[in-house]
Amino acid sequence: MNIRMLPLRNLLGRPFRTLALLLIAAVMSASVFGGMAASASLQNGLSSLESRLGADIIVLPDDAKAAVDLKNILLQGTPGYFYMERSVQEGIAAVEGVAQTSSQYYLVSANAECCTVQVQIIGFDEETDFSVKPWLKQAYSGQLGENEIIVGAALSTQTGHSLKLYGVECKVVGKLEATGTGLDTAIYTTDNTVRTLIRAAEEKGIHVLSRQSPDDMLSSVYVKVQDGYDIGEVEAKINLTLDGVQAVRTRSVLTGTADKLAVISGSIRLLIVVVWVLVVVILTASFSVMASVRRREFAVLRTLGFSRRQLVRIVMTESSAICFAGAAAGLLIAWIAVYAFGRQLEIRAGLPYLLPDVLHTVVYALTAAAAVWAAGMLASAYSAYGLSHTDAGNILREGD
Amino acid sequence: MKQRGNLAGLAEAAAAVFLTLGASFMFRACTVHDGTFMVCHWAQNAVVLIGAVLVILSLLRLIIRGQEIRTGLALSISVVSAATILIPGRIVHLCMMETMQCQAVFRPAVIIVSALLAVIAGADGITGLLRFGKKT
Repeated sequence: MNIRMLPLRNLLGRPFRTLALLLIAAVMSASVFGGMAASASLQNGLSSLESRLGADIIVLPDDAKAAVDLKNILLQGTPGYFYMERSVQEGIAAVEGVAQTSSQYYLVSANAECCTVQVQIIGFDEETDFSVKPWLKQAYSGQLGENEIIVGAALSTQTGHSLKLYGVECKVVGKLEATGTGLDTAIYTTDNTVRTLIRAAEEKGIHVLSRQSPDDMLSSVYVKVQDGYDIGEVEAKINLTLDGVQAVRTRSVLTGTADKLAVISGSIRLLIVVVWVLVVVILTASFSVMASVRRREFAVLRTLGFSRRQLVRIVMTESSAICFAGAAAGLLIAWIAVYAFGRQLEIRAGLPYLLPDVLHTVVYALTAAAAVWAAGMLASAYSAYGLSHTDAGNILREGD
Repeated sequence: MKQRGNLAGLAEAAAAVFLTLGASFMFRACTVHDGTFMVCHWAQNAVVLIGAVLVILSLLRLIIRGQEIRTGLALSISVVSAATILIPGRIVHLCMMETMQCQAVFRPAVIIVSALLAVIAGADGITGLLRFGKKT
């Protein structure tokens, strides 16, 4: 028999023991890899939302529902709408410390042909926009024409295709990068196209929209503060100067989310450490039990001429094989949960969720595999030393 | 050896039943909205139908004794389940929004279960072919 095949034959010869150890290794690798990937996805989602908004302050109608609606639009993609007078924008621009303002108009589609749910339509001013345009440019560098739209990354349509909104054929001229937020399911267009959609809605008997035409109303004003001015002070000035509006710092919109995320990430990190320690303890105990059971087997091998080094190598190879196979199984399970069902996690958590890129994924996978292997080596090292340093003669004389 | 062969057959039957029942109840596509079916509903119907065919094939694979027929059935299960992977989103379109049930749950679940079935049945079929090679 080939000596190199001995560890493999040992493992195959005790399938239930091998399977149990594989399961332990798989649980560890799944928790380490899945935990790191999920935590990174949540962090990526929040960072991407922060940079995506681009504004220091967002001004909304002075109504609690508006703030909740905005959060739902941003985080969960739940369509919402709220309106205030268009003249507000001039008032905000006149406040000391305001560098730039840009308005957005939120409209909710009736069921689009694409989906059974409503879709958020965001009309933005191409001339003044600074929070959407930088992202739109990645997809489309020209000016949006009549009935032309740009879609978020989570709408699986392609540039050049059309979408029917209120019966109007709208041509998709660009698609955005994924952000892992509710903005991924939105449709972006100009106020002119929004007017066309409202007219089409009226023709279909939906008259309520005509009372909130983008000619007189807007939904939110994004504000950039001049360098050297305190954002908090500018926010307070807007709230004091203008009636019927509420200015909120972009960061404060995301504070609750960031807090939630910090708790989840902390829990995940704690879970990874606890699982790692538990696995080391369980594996050490398992290998110790195995060592006492296999004393006679190793004594026989020793009398057959195996060196101590060869015996250590057998134990370590068995341990490595179990760790690597278990780690592979665990990585596959975690990949299915975190990557394949990532969207479902995002929906359930109600938090921005942007999966890490391939390079980071590979790093997390290698880290998880290394953690499992290190745990296996630590656990088996003591047993390997014990087995290779026992007195073969004494053990064989002991009998049963 | 015989027990191992039956184990593969049982695994194939279990995966085929899970695909059929799962696509019908557990990880189904979007539900009816305003009395109309979305396009993903037809993808679900196609998966359930093919799942039912796979259940029959895998039961035949379990019942029939002839090794040659078993191998043929295993290979056909592998090919059909590999083809099932293409149904949601490629052969039959799903809803456009990736946050919807059909995109977020139905599609990945069908792909994973079908891929698993294709691998198990493929390995079973190839093992059968290798056994033939040894016999002849």
